[in-house]
Amino acid sequence: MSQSVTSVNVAGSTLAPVSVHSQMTQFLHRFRRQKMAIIAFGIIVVLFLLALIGPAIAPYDPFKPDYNILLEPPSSTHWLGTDEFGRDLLSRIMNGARISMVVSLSSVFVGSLIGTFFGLTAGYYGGKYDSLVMRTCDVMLAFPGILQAIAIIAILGPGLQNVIIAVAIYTIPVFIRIVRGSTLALKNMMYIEAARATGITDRLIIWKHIFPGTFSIVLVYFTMRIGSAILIAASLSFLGLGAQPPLPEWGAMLSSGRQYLMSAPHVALFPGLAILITCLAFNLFGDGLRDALDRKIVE
Amino acid sequence: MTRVKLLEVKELKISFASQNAVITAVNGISFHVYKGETLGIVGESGCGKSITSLSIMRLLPKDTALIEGSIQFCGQEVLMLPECEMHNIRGNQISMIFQEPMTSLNPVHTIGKQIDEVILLHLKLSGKEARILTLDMLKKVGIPRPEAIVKDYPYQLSGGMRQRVMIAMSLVCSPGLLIADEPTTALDVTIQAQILDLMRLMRKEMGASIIMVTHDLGVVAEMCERVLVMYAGQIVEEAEVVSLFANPKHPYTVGLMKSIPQLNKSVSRLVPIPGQVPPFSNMPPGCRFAPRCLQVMNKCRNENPSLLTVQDGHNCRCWLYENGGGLGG
Amino acid sequence: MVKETLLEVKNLKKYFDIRGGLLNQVTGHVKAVDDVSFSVSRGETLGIVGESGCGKSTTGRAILRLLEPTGGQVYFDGVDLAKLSQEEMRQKRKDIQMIFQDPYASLNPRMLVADIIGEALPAHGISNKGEIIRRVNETLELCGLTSEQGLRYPHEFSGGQRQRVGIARALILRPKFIIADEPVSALDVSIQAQIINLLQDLQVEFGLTYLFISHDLSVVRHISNRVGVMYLGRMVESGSAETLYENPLHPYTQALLSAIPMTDPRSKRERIILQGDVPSPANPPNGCAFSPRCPKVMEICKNTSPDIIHMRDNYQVACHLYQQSVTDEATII
Repeated sequence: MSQSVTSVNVAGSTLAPVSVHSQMTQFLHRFRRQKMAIIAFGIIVVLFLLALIGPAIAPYDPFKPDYNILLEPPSSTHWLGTDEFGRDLLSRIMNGARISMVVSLSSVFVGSLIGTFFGLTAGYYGGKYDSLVMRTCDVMLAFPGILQAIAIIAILGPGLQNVIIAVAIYTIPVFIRIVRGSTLALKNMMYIEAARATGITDRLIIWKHIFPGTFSIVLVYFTMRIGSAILIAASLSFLGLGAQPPLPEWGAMLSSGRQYLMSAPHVALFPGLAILITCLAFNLFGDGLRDALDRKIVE
Repeated sequence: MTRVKLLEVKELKISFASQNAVITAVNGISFHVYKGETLGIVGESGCGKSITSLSIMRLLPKDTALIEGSIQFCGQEVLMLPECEMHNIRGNQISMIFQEPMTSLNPVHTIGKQIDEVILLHLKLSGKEARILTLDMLKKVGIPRPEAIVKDYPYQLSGGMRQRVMIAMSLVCSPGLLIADEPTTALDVTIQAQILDLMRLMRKEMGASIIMVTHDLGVVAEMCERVLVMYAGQIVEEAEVVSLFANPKHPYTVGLMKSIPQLNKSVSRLVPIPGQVPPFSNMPPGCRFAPRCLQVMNKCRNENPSLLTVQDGHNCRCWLYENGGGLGG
Repeated sequence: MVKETLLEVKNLKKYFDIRGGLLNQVTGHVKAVDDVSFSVSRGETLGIVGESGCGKSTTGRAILRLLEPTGGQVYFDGVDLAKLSQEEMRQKRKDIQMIFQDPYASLNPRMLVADIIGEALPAHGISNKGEIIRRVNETLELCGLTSEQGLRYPHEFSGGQRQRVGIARALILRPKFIIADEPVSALDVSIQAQIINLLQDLQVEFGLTYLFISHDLSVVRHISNRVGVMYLGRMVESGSAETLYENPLHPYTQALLSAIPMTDPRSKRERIILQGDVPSPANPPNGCAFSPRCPKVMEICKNTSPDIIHMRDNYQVACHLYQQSVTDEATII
């Protein structure tokens, strides 16, 4: 980030001095104002930690059944109770964090990578290639995400790996659209034309001049798509198409806990809450990020 | 025949409050405009000429601009007038045309409506009578088929046409003073010639005084009788136009003329003025032009000169002329 | 002394499509550049003047293929640029560079000045980091900036300084030819002189050839050896700067030159004031483009577009008032 100076000697008005704070400080200032985003960020940090060390610090083995303590409500020994196989719910949820994080991060990462590539190239080169990419996008976006994902699983077969593929495919057109839009706007800037005039390759122009301009919007969307990726993955697992038992994936846990909603609601409640809080956290964080970056762009 | 002073500005000082400091954009300038005269105010961007012209009509933002000094129009102290009386003056007794006609005309109203509005505001005429006057004025400023143009919106007209509309709007109430702030800068050269020609014609017909604010010395030479040269918020030279061009005194004026390519004088190399205009927050002590002046003396760096009389009607803010006459100007 | 021709533009055309209708078809063309021909000798400066909409900036961009020409040839050092592939053209850019009008928009605000200037060197064969830094600093100094200033961002500079950065960016590749598109129009009057002098000094030092595009007739007169006047996409007159300014032949040139306000309050010049506005290039008049406004219009002008008449000493004019005679010396009708 660059430092602004107190008074800029610009041909034109030299009246109002530019703020003394650097762009980074201003950015942090505004972000701080978004308290919800801060709380959300905190939750995300916890989730990351859980993903990293959760399985190591979980109090019980998430896979080991104990037929003596089936469907026990929360107690001092099992803080969140046990499920229908006597497995500690807290340990299962902590392990599930890693699964959710891995699935969502990898799928959105792959999807955004591919989407950004096509968005940049379609926007920059235009022509028939652009039309082809956009029509493909339109087709892909015409289907509701979950339907698309189910169709892909139907082709590839159930399992977490295929869930990642399905969610990645679902993410691609979203990124193509936003990156292409950004590219179209940036392509017409005079400094892009000037860079072309010096003879640098198109590839370099896209990478060094256009992509950095799209980066902030990609980052915002990346964060927000993680929330929906977790939801889709959980939904697929809920339907039995994603994580297979006995994996402690939250959606799968929700699904199996459904039968016991009347007798032991905690078995479904806690995984559901985990999904809810995680999605909410990523969405709020993404919102805050976007607001803070928006104002930076406007300025 | 004694000349009547239509506008008299004394020790005008305009400051702005910004984030960190108070900036004095115009630092105690004094000048006057006679009835029927065209005064030029020439200077580069940032010198304060536009701000000065806006302040005459009190168009500067009230909350950030602090105006001190005196502006007397027809004997009335403009800075003391209540806002409702200012409405009576703006567009009626003093009017203004701006550089960018696209942004000064309201894009959502027709041309006819905008001119009618000015008439209805100030003159006691009915709607029909106002429209007749509008058409008459549009004809006067050389707009072909005014009956069709009154129904058009600003975006449908070219730059030159829009500027003509602006001139019509500003003259329709026969003001005593017209302030033109860079009226031709955004126009092509052949259109500029048309507009300046029109202004000369209107001046003759309506007898208005004009303050012509511009950075173009050619425009000044063509249109103005007297000229003020401004630099960094001060008037550095004041003279009749023939005298200014034949015999510029202030090193800035001299430098400006030497640095502009002129069609009637062919030179092999331009002589630029070194350096840059100092920022308002960091003005040098003493003469504001001293850091860039090729004839700077020790005194210049410490004391800011006042406007000294060099000859009759020709004043200069420069220590070179401390004893009148001057050393090779 | 026969001057070697470095750039020869022949019948250059650039039309923009106007789309409309239900299926977004092409309904017409904006003829921004309509059959323009001129040449520039090595080491000289050709100025191109005209008012807004005349097509001068589009001509510059079409030569560089920043906009693809619709037709015509652009011979640079014997090679037709219009026929080259994208990659071949990219390599040619080493020899033919551009300086842009807007010093604020033409520099990437996120890049350091040194990076902006040196960015193209690897694309043209210089990848050694040390060599790049050396060249960047050398070019900064040639353009009146310090190597320390290279480590700053564009927004920290004034308009004049930014334009120096733009010049450095063009110069660092040691091109043969530079197209300057209104390089001083956005600058303050006292800064313009600094930049004009810089351009002239660089021309002498590096043997540069310039195409100087501007609407400012005084600046063009000062810096150019030869001048071309454009109107509505066509070149109406071209020749030596001195001859053109002292004795303009085409009625538009005459009106243009007489419209310039003189810095002499005592001169009482005969002013030619043109009527009306410049017509739109999407809807040019029949026959000669200037005929609706021409004070010397004749019947033939309204129907037939005038051919270019070659006169003595590489002077051309496109006007029915002049006619090529058998002995190749133009006579006035």
